[in-house]
Amino acid sequence: VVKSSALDRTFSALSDPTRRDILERLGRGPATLSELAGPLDMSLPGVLKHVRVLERAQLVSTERNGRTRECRLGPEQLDDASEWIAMYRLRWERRLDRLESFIERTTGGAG
Amino acid sequence: VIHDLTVERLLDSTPEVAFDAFVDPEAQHELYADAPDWIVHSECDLRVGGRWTVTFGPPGREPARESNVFEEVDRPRRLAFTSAMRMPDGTEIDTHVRVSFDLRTGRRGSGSSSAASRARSSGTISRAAGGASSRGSSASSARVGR
Repeated sequence: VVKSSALDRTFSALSDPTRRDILERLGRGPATLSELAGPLDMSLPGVLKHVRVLERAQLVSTERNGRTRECRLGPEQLDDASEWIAMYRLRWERRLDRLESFIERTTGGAG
Repeated sequence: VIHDLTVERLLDSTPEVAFDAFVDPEAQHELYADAPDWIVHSECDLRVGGRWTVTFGPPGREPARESNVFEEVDRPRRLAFTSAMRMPDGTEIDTHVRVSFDLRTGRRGSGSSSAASRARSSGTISRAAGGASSRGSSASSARVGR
C-alpha cells in the first residue's frame, strides 16, 4: 500500500523544473549547495529552499561537512515502487521539458 | 500492479510541429540526454506495428534501452505505443503510452496557437534484482502552463 501523502510530497517535489534540474545533477553524483547553485544561477538560500523540499520528499539527503553542505540522492528512493513511479514520472516531465525547449530552439515558437 | 501516470505540457507550437519533434531522430538526443555527453541512439519506424528503439546513457557505461512498438499513429493528434524500458540495473518498466497533441487556441502571448501535449502512461514495474517489492497504485495528473 502506497502512503498517498508521501506520494503527494514526491509529486509536488517533482513539479518544479528547478528541482528536476537538481535531481538530474545529483543523478550524476553528490554536489555541494554552491555546486548546485552555480549552473542554476541561484543564490544559496534559493537553492537550499528547493533542496529542503526534495529532502522532505526523501528524494535527496544532505549532510553538513564543515562549512559546506553536501547533497546526494536519497538512500531510500529505489526501494519502493512509488519512488520508481516518481522517477519514471521525472523522466517524462524532463522529456516534455526538453520537447518544449527543442521546439523553441528549432522553430522559435510557431506564430 | 498497474500504475497510472499523466504528464501534460502546454507548448507554444502547433500539434504538427510538436508531433514531428517528438519522434524526430535529431530531437531524441535532446529529449533523452541527462547530460550533454550522453550517447543517444534512436531508430524509429513510424507506422502501426513499427518499432521505435532508443538507447541512452553516459559514455562508457551500459545504456538504458527503451523498446517501443506503435499501436496507433495518427499524425498530428495521437500516438500510442507499448514501451519496455530496461535500465542497466535490471529494472524493467513495461508501459502503455498514449501521447496526444491537442490544439488550444486562446489568449496566450500575442495570440499564437499552442499545442497541449499530454502523455499518459500506464504500466508495471519490476525489478530483476532481489529485494522486497512493494505494491501500490497511483493516479496523478499535472498541468504546467506558462
